[in-house]
Amino acid sequence: MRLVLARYVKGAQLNINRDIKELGSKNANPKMRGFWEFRSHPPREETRLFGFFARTGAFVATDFQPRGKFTSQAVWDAQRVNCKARWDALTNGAPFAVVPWPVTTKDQLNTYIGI
Amino acid sequence: MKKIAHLPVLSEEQRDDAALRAQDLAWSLLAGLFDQYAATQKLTYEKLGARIKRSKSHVQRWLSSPFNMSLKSLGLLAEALDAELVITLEPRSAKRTSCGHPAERGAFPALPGSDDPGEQTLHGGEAASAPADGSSLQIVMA
Repeated sequence: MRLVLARYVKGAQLNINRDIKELGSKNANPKMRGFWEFRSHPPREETRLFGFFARTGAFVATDFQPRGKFTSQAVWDAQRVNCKARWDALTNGAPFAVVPWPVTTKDQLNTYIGI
Repeated sequence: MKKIAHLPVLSEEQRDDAALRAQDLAWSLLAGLFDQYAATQKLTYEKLGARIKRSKSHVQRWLSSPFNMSLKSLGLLAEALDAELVITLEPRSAKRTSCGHPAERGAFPALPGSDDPGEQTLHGGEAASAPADGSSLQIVMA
């Protein structure tokens, strides 16, 4: 995860859906809109860093979990609810970035990460 | 200028990180270029592997994780993607001045849909924005 985050912080290459993913975009699920994960890669235990973008380049992490925990859609949904509650506590309910959406192209990703 | 021989001995974690950073750097560029061609040219693992006499699963394994990357696979995949591999190595001390995230240098506006005017730094900071290394690697489309 450190390697992926280092690339993000330095403005280096980040690959959509390999390194970072907007969790509502694959099936256009509005309940997950604006909810993001950074992804670490095997063979070490795969992990996910969840959070929201306050604005371009400003990712606010709200939780860090092993990928193996997510065994059903219900677990994903609960994770989104928990992370949103943490976001609200951190920001006093401020809005997070949700445009453009869905995020399926490199250009759309760059709008969030600011490359 | 620091004398290399006087620098402290690297810990095991630092040595691991150094090796993994190189693999991750190479992998991120190759995977990114592959994804670009997959989107624009419908390139597949199978078609890419056919160029270098490697199976679909072999190419998929290489591109699934930075930890599968070696100099050999880097060279083969760069060639398969018809890309020029360019490696530069720069002394770290020459590049450690200011390397904040591009979005934190005031070059980008706030996202649409966000009320934030884009003035408050919410991530990065001086410690997080310092680059971990001064080296770079590029894969250039031929």
